[in-house]
Amino acid sequence: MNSILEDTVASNEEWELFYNDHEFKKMYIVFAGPYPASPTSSFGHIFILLEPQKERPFLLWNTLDFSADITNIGTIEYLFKGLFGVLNGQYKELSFYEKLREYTLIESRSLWLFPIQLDNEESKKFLFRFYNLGNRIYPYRFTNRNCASQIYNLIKLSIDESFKQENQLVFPHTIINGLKNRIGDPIFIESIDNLLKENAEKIALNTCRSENKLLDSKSVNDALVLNKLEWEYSQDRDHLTSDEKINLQALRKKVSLASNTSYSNFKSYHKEFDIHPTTLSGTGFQMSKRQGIEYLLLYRFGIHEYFENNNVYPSNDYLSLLKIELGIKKNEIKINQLMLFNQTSLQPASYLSNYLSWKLGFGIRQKDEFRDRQLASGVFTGLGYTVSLYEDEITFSLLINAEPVYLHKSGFSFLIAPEIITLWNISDRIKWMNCFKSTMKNIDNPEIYYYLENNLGFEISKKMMLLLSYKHSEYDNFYDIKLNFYIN
Amino acid sequence: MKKSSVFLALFVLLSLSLFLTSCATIATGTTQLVTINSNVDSATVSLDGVTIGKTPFTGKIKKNGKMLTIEKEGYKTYTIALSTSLEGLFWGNIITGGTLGSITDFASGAAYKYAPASYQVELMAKGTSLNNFKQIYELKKYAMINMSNISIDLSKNNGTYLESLIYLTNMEKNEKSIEIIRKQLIESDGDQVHFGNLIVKLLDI
Repeated sequence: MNSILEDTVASNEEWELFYNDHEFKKMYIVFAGPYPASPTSSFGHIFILLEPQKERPFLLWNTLDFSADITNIGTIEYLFKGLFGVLNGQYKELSFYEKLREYTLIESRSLWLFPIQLDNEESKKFLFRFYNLGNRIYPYRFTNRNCASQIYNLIKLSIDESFKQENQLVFPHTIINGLKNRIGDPIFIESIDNLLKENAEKIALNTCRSENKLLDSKSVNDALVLNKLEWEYSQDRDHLTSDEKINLQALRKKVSLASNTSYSNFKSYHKEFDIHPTTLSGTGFQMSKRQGIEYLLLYRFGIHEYFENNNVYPSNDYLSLLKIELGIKKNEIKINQLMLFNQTSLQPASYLSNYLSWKLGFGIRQKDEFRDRQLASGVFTGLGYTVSLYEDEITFSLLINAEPVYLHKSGFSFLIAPEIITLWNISDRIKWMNCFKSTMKNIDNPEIYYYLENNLGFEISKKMMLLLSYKHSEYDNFYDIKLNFYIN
Repeated sequence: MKKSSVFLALFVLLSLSLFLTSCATIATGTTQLVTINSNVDSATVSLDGVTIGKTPFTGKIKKNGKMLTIEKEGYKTYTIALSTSLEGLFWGNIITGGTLGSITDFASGAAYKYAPASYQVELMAKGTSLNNFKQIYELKKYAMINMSNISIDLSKNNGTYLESLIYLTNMEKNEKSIEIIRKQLIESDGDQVHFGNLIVKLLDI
C-alpha cells in the first residue's frame, strides 16, 4: 500500500490539466457534523472545498476528500468494519452541490466551513500531493488513517515538508484544533431537515396569526411540501411510484410559477463550532447513606450525553464508545460503570419524522435501585417514544427498557424498566435531566424497585462542566458533585 | 424457555434490529427496480453481456450482476461496474463521484443518479469534442439533480441553485434568463429528464 508521504512522478501534461482545473484562491476545511446513524461517521467527516481562481457560483466549486469504500460488504461486516474501521479508502472529488446534497439532504447533517490560509506555494504543493494520491486504493482505518488524518497530513505536508505523519488517533475536529493558527471563523450551513422544521414553524405561526397572514403563505407552503418530498424521497427509498413522480413533477411546475415567495431552501451564517471533543475526563465525589463518601473518576470517549450542555450537535442523539467510571474509597477501587458501547436516540416526533426512541449498550453498570447495590453486566436496550415542547427546548421520553444482565450478587436476570426521561434546556449553559424508572426484577416472581435521578449540568467554560446529581432509591439517597473536562 | 423470557428475547432482538437498520438502509431481495435513461433513445442495455432492454429502460436487474453496458451505433460503448452495498445496488463509479483526473472520466461517456434508482447515462458520439461533452454533461447533471431546488428559487426569482444553473448555461443572470429557465421548466412538465434535455439546448454548442 502506498503511504501518503510517497510522491510518484505525475505526467507533466496531466498535472498541468489538473492544476488548471483546480487552482484555487481560497481553501475551506469542511466539517460535516457527526452522524450517529452510521458507525463510520459517528465523529463527523472532513473534506476540502476549493474556491477557484476564476469566479464561479460556490455550488460548483470542487471538493476533495478521502473516504471509505463500503461497497460489497454485508450488514454485520459493515457494522464490524464501521466500528473498527478495517476498510479501504480512496481520494475523490465532487462538486460542492453533490456534497451538500449528500450531507445536508440525504444524511441531515449540518456543515461548518473553516477558511484556511495557504500561500500560493503551499496551495500548489497541496494540489500536487493530492493529484499524485488519486486513483489508488489505500487502507482506511477508523483511528489513524481516516478522512481527517489524511487531509490533515496533506495540509501539514504542504505547509512544512519536514512534517512527519504521526501514528495517533485523529478525529475530524482534532484537525480543526491542530490547524487553529491557520483557520478562520467558520461559516455554518444548516441541514435541510432543520430548515424544513424552521419553515414549517413559520408557516404554522403565520396561519395562527390570521390577521398577519403572509400573502404568499400558499406558495411558501407548496415550496415547503416540495422540499419536504425531496428530503423524504432521499431517505430510505429505492424507487418512486408513478403517483409520487407525477405529484413531484406537478409540484415543481406549480412552485416555479409562483413569484416572490419568502421560502428559504439554503441557509448559511457565522456560527461557533459547537462540537464536543471526543474525549472527556471527570472527577468528583458521591455521598450516600450506605456508601459514605466515594471519590469518582470518569473517562469517556464518544460524542456527548444528555445531561451535557444544550449546544450539542447532533441534538437528541447520544453516543459513547467507551465509558469508565471508577469509585475510590480508602483501600478500595471499584468499577461503577464500564460500557463498551452505549447509544441513545431520543429524537422527538416532529413535522418530519415519527421515529421511535431507542437505546442500546453493552457493558457493566452499577445498579443503585436494588436493596443491595450491585453490578449488572450484559446488554441494555430500550424502546420508546419522545415528544417535545417549545421548539425542542423540553422533551419527554417514555422508554421501556429490557436488560438481560448478570447481577453479580443474584445471578442472571431479565430486568424490565419503564422509564420517563425529561430533558430541559434551561439556558444556553444549563441543562436539567430528570429520570424516573421502575425496575422489575424476576418477572415470574416480580420485585419492583423505584428510582429517581436528577442531573443539573452547568457549562462553566467550553472545556469544563459541573454536574450536580441527586439520585433516590427506596434504600438510599446519593448526592454527586462532578467536574468534567473535555480533552482535545 | 418461559414465555416471559421469550418475550424479552424478542424485545432485545427488536431493539438490536432497530439499531442495525438505523445504521443504513438494508435492501432485501435479489433484484432491484431501476430506471436507466440515456441522451440517445434506444441504446441497448446489457447486463453481463445479456441484452435486457433499450433506453429509456425501467425494469428489475439482478443485484449480483457485475457489468452493465449501454451501447448504440455511432457512440462509444459505456460500461458501468456494478457492486452491492447496504443501499442496494451500488454503481461504483457514480455514487462515489469522480476519481481524480476528471478529464479521463469522460473517455467513453458518463453516468449519474438523479433520483432514487434512476440513472442518466450520457453516451459520447464518436468524434465529439471532450470539452463540449463535458460542458453538456455538467449542465444536464446539475439541472436534473437540482430541479426541485431550481423550482423553489424560481418562485423567489433568485437563489443559489438558480444562479449556478444560469452560470452553467453561459447566460447573464437577469430577468430574461430567469424567464427562459422558467419556460423550460414549465415545458418539461416538471420531469427531470425532459428538463435536462431542454436546458442543454440553451448551450450554443
